[in-house]
Amino acid sequence: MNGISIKGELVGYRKSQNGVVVSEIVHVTTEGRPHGPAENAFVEVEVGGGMRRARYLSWINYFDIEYALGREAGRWALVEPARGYSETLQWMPFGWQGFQRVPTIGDSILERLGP
Amino acid sequence: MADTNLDVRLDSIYERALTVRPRLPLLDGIFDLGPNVLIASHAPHARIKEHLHDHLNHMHIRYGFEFPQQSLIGIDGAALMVVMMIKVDHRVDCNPVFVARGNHNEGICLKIAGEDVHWVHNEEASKKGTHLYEATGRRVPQGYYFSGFYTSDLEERRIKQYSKEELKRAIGMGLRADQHFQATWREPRNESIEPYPVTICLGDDTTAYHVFFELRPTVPLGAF
Repeated sequence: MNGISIKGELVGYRKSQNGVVVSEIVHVTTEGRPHGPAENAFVEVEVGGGMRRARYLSWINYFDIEYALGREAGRWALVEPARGYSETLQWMPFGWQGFQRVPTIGDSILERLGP
Repeated sequence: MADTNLDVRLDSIYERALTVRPRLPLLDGIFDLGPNVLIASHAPHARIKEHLHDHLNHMHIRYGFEFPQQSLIGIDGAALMVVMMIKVDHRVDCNPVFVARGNHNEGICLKIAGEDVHWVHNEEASKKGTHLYEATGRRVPQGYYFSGFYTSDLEERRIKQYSKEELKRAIGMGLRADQHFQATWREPRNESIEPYPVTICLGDDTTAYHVFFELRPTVPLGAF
């Protein structure tokens, strides 16, 4: 599959339980639609074998990463100040089979409410 | 010797209040919403500065509010609070406070203490809103929760309290402004959001004053 190019700023990492980086959190700074992500979107870029793939997050700023870190200590890292990011990847805006959701505002409230 | 007749007594928790009242929006045109549209769902659209989820399916929520001229007796400072009942599949994020219309449908932001007013998510505010709502016999319906915010620093990471003087300067003879939110899927989906009524609470972190109101996708005639 042909990749698309995205440009943005790297603002954080997600790590495995062993501390290995499994995805990058990128704030997109260049409009990429219709074939790529929108300007100002936060995306998660999966880092693994082969071409990277990326999807939209509903996140909007560093607070979301701090929130994730609060929910999953040691599994998230902030990159601050943000670093320039440019990558060719597979764009799958709404994720792929079996993607791992990220902690999101309201998780702990919804936990308290129960199913 | 002090004249005790001149003492200000704060016997009731409601004597110490940072009074704010919900209003219809003041400014037409920002984000292309007319005067009768408080809740509107949108498909992904072009970038608008200050818009948080323009690239995702989202539900736009807006209202006006007014801080009437007031004494602020007994208040040394406060962070403003907004709490909003939304569906559990959604998150909601908050724009700055708009006091005028700028170019290209963008809003001009309210400044307090020389800085634009921003908001940060806060789960204590969510709990407080839930408690206040349920304290009068109402129950949060299944499938909904209160999402809460306090005023924040410009990075929207830490709560910001304004001093009494800063609040008095901003409120002056009365402050009228508009507030916009965008709710979107917590996990982004290629699916539109059907508009639904949203219950909102306005208050602060210092006094017991608060006010609940409901926004509907179609405004009832009596609101005008």
